[in-house]
Amino acid sequence: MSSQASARSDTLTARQSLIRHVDNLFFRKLAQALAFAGFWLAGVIVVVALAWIVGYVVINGFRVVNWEFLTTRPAGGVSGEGGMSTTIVTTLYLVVLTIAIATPLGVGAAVYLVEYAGEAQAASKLVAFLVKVARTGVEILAGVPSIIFGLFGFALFVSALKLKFSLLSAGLSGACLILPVIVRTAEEALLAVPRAYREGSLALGATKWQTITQVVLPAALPGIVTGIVLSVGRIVAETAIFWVTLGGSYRLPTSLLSSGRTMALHVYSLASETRAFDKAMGTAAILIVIIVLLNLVINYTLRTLSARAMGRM
Amino acid sequence: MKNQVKSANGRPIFVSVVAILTACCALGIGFWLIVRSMAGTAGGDVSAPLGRMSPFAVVVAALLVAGIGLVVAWGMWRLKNWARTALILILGGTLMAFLIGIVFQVAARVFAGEHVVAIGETMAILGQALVRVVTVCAVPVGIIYGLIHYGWHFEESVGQRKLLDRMMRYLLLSAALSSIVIVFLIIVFTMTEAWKSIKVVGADTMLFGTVWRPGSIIGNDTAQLGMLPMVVGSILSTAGAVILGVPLSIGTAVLLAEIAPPTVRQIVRPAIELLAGIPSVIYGLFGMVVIAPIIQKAWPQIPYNTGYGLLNASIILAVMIIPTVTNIAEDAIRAVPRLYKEGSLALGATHFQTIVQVILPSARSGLIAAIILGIGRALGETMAVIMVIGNSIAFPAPLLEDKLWTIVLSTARTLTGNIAVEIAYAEGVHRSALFFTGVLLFGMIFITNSVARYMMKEREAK
Amino acid sequence: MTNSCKTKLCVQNLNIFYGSFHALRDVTVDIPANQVTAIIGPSGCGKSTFLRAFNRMNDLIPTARAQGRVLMDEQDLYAIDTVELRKRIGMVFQRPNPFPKTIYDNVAYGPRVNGVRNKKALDDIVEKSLRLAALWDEVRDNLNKSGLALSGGQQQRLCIARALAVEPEVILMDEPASALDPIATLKIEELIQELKRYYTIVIVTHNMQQAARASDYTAFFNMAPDRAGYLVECGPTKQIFTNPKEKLTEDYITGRFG
Repeated sequence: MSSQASARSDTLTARQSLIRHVDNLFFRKLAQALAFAGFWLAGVIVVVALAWIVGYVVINGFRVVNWEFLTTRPAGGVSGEGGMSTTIVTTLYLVVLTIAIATPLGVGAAVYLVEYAGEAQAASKLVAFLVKVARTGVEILAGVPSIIFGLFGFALFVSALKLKFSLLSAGLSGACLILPVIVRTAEEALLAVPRAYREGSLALGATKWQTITQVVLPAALPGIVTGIVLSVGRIVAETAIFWVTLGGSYRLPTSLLSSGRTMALHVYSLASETRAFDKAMGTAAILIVIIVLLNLVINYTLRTLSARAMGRM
Repeated sequence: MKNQVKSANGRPIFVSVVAILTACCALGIGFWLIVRSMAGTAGGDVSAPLGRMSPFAVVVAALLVAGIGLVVAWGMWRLKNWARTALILILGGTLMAFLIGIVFQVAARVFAGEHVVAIGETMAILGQALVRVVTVCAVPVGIIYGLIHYGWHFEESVGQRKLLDRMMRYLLLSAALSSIVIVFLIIVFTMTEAWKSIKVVGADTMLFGTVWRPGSIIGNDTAQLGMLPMVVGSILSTAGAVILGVPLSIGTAVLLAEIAPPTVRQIVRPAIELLAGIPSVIYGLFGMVVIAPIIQKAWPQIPYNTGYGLLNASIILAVMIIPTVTNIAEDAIRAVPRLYKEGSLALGATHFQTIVQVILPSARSGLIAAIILGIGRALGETMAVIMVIGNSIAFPAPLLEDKLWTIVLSTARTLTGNIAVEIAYAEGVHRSALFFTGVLLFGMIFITNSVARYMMKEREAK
Repeated sequence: MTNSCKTKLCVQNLNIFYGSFHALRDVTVDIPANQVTAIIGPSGCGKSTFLRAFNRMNDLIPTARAQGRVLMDEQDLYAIDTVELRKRIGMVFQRPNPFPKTIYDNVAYGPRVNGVRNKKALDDIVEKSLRLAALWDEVRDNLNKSGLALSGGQQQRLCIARALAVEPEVILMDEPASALDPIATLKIEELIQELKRYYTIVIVTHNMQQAARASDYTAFFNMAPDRAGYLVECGPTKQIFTNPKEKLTEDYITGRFG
């Protein structure tokens, strides 16, 4: 074939493939547009679901909430009358109790894992094994569902130790529940403290313990407090575990060994034992407000404090 | 630093006074206890706790208290650091106990009646409590402050410091081991309680039995403890949650990681975090008040459609697992190296093609881990489910024989729901069977979590 | 081997291992009192390891092992308690590392952990240390400011003040000016000259001009083919830099390697 002809056939093939390319591109772009619309739809549905649930509960709930509601005792029984005053106090008691039990244990565990485990592991095979076991323990504990903690608390604290349905049983069970959270966040916070601080302190003739208490822990404090606030949110929101260890008395607990009812449990009792859905909504609305506030504290206050304590501000 | 800091001055007067005080208190309390025990069980409420203990035990307690007190006092006299620490801890401990008691008393008085007492009276109560606290605590707090202030007078040898260091090490190691100890205790106690039912009824009968009529209700002779309906209920509700929730989660994850601009992410991410923190009972409440009527009105012609059932539970559970799955899926997608994405785009693929053919397959193990963790979460959820699923003990079955899909409108009961609903009044073998359910659940969720963790580690290794 | 040591610090046949890695080989050197001794040498020749052998900071690494003897005032430093030791030998690090506390609390930290509680005593110690570190005039009105709010050079002087507050006898400095700008560096060098009146100073530096300017004695280390560090030559700075005994020293000083 002459060079002219071959050139022409080349152009032809080139143009043909160009057309094929354009067609394909159009369909691909169409597919992408549809798919992306689908993704956006998924996101929108998720946000709408949240807005609907939170909005519905808060709006309906706040119709019931007023000073009267907050300061009146629940009347108990089937009527669902009364307010939620004692439940607020009981929740507060329970939060303080669980944090008081779990924080020393959790922070102590984290301090060991970060500050002591390194050299101890090198020194002794037994200790290295124990450290590995300890870490696995925290991971397993983190995955246990709350009803199992409830059953455990029921078997050990309520029955075997004869503590009966009480703040103490619930507090001990709750402490087991939040222990992994505190250990993990404390460990992260301690690891984030720069090594230079520890070296500087030791070079001044401070003991290891002094270094930990006077330099490392203060620097890690905001991170540890974040873990504590997360745990508070968890305790406030939990129901199953306290259903089985705290009992359901609507009265105010008068000692560590008396029973009571948290706000979340109150929502459940109202919803399932009475028909007072409005009061349930009211309690639920207060719960949501508390959770939102805790979230804000974590996301804004604690992040800035953390950066400052680490010396980044 | 020169040892000028260590006191060559000798014992400060303050320390001497405290030492003598401690000795006197120790002797005094011991004496008082013995006298009280001699007086026998007669007496007012104050001796009530003593009355329960035998006189012998009281004498032993008295001697113990006096002995410890004297030893601590002697240690203080000799300026030993351990004595100072011991005294601070003892005083601090008693103060704590006292304060806790005050808090309970104040709360009880403030919330005494039907309504919280008025502001004025609350203030009065608080004021009274404050006065009481100050008068009782002033001296001990002063002593503690003084002990801390004079702390540098107390000698601390190198040997002591090494001992303290070693003690702290062991103490902290036991704190670290506390988690595994708790896991161990959980296994031991739940297995022990479950053992009765395994022996009496048999694990296979319980797992595969289809009728659940516990003896606590109708008498032990005809009791049947088959939990297969609950197993099916759990599986169906979880499956429903996965079918509804996973596509939404993965879609949202892809949206946040690949498609949406940063401002959208800043709104949606906190929203999802908030979703994760909402108490489960609120979801249950929403299911009861909003979703149940919707379901009922949607198919009014189907008999026994109460709005409660598997569909309701699936919807609620789906909403509850969305935060978990989205979070992990988004992390997995973000972890895919940019090189893969850029390589694909450079070859002329569209963004969508890149997502489907390069990014998602790359993130596969992370995505599977996310889904498995979502399954674990759905299996373990209790309270929200029992509020909306109806809790009937019959096998979930289609409400209309010719319309199989109506099974989603059937009520059911899950394994978790079984435990929560009946544990309050279960006795004997029945209760033991509920613990067996707990053990079963623990096992199932442990397996799902381990598989998910394994898949996530595998992804990191790559 | 008797504990004989005519100078403030003596190192006798010191070998340091990290696990099976031989980091320092058979170092013997005397460090005179109230003088500035500079440790120079190419990267990786074990200068920092040598410096840290004095206050046993190497002990922080689990696999580290030391053989031989390090004496201060004829006392074996590896036989006494590390916490006591580090009160007598202070250290300033390469990168300034003030604690996230106030300037006052940074300087007072050392005395506090040693048991000084008296506020007046602490105030005096803080002022004295900051004066010695030539930082007092700049921060006297701002003692409650965070230590991290100071400039790099000021932070390093704060760390020096912090080390001085514990009243050590020896001060170790690991490349104290390498993270600072030239003007701050000059200030530090002037400070070192003043401090040697009261303290024995050992300074590691990779900057030869600094060693020549600021030190009285110099020890030159090198890295052997098996990556172990060893002492090549040590002596008065003037002699090392104008008339070195070893050819290796001369090569390093004239810039032929390192």
